Amino acid sequence: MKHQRRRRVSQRNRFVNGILFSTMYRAQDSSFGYCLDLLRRYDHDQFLVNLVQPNTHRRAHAAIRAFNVELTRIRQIVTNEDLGRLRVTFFREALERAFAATPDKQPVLDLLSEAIVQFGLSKKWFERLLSAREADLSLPNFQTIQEVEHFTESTQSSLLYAYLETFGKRQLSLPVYQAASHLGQALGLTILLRGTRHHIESRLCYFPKEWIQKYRVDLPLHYRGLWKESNSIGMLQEMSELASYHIATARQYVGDIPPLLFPAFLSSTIVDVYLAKIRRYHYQMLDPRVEFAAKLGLKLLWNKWRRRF
Amino acid sequence: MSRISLFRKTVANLKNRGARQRTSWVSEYPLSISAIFSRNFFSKPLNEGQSPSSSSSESVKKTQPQGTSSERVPTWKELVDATATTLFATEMVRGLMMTLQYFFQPAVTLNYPSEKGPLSPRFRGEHALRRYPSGEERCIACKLCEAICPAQAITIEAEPRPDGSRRTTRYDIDMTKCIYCGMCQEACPVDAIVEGPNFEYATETHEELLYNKEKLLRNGDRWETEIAKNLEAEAMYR
Repeated sequence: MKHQRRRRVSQRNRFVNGILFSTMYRAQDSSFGYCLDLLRRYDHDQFLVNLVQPNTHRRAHAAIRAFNVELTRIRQIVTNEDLGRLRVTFFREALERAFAATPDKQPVLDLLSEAIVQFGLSKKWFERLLSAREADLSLPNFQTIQEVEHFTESTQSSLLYAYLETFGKRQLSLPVYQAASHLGQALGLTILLRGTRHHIESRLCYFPKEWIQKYRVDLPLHYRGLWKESNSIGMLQEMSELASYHIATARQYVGDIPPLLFPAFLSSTIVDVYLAKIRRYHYQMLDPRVEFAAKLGLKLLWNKWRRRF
Repeated sequence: MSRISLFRKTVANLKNRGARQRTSWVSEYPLSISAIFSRNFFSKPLNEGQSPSSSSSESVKKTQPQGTSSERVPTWKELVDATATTLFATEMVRGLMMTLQYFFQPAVTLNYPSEKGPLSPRFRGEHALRRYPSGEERCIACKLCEAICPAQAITIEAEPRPDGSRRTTRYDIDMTKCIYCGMCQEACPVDAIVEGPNFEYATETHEELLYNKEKLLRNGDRWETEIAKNLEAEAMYR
C-alpha cells in the first residue's frame, strides 16, 4: 500500500493502478499558480473566496473561476463582436478536449481538465456559461428583470453548480440547487450593480428596459453618472433590494444543505459586504469607496470559522 | 554702476524721444493713422513747407494749428532710425531675458534616442510571441491569427510534440505585408501573439523584416514587462 502510494506520486497519476486511474489527468504545477494570479488580478473577490476553500477543492475552484475570467475578458479585449465569437468558439472546442482529458497546453484549460476528470463535472453548466457569455458580447438588451436574472443565473449560478459538483453529486439535492440558484443571482446582480460605473464608461446599461421606463430614467444623464438627475437612484435601489431578496431566499435553505457543501456558499459574504457598502454611500456608484472592501477577506475567514453562510 | 545708469538714461532718452516725436506729429496731423500711411510715404520727408502735391496735403495744412508750425518735424530717415533703435534695443534685451528664463527652466524637448515619448497602452507596434511565467511558450497553434489576418502576413505550420502538446514548428510574419490592424492580437485566445510597444525596428534589407518564430519569441522575452502591463485591464463587472 505504502509502496503503491509512493509510485502514484512519483508518476504524477497518469496511468496508475490500472483502469481505476486510467482517466486521471494531472495538470502542471505551474497551472494552479497561473490561475490564482489571473483571479488575483481580475476577480479579486473570488480569489479571496478561493483562499477559504478546503485545500482539496482549491484547484477546482481556481480552475472554474479562471475559466470564467477568460470568457469575461473577451468582451474587453475585442473591438469586434465576431472576433469575440471566434474566441468563444475556441473555448467551446477547447472544453470538448478538456472533457476528453487532452486539454490544450493553456494553464486554465489544463487545470480545468484536471478538475473535470477528477470530479466528473457535468458539461451542461460550462455550456450554459459559454452561451451566456457569447450572448453578452453584443450590447446588453434586457427587456425585463427576469432576463437579467436569467443572465446572472446562467453565469454565476452555473459556476456555483459546477463547483458544487466537486463535493460529490450525491450530496446535491433540490434545495441545494435552489440555494445555489438564488445565491448566484444575488452575486450576479451585485456584480452588475457594482460595475455600473464601469458599464457607463463604455455606454452599457445592464438594467432592463422595463425599469428604465418605470423610473423614467434619462439615459444620457445616466451615462454621465448623474444618478439623482437621471432618476437612476430608484432603479439602483430596486436592484440592490432584489439582490437582498435573493440572498435571503438562498438562506432559507440553510437547514437542507449538507455541512460538507457549506464552503461553496461562502460567496454570500461578497453580496453582503458590497450591498452594505452601496447602501452606506447612498447609491453614489461613482464613489471609489463603493468598490473596495478591505474587510472582505477577514469577513470570509470569520464566516468560515463560524460556519455561517 | 555708472554704466547701468548710463544705459538706463539712454534707454529713457530713446523712449522719451520716440514718445515726444510721436505725440508731436500725431497732434500736428489730426488724421487717422491709415490716412497717414496711405500717403506716398517714403518718397518725401515729412517736413513742413513741402510743396502741396495733393489735395489731401492741402487739407492737412488747413487744419494744422498755427502754434506748432515752428516745431521741427523729423524727416522720415530720423523717424525710422529712432523707432528702430527704440524697438530693437529693448527687443534685444527682452529676447535675451526670455532666453535666460528658459535656460533655468526644465527642458520640454526629449533627448530622443535615450528618452522616448509616451505611448498608448493600445499602441500596435512590432509583434511578439509571449511565454507563460513558467517559460513555456503560449502559442498552441490554433491558427486563428493566420485565419483572421486580412493581409495574409502570418504563416503557421504545426505538429504535435512528443509530450502530446500541439506546438508550432514554424511561425512567420511578413512585416512588410502586415498592416498593423491588431486583429491577430484580438483573435488569439491565449494572448500569445501581441503587438508590442516597440516601433524602432527599421532594417536595411527586406529579408530582415521577414520574422520567424525565434525572432518573435525573442521580442516577447525582451518586451514582456511592457506587454504585460499594457494588457492589464480592469477587473470584470459582469
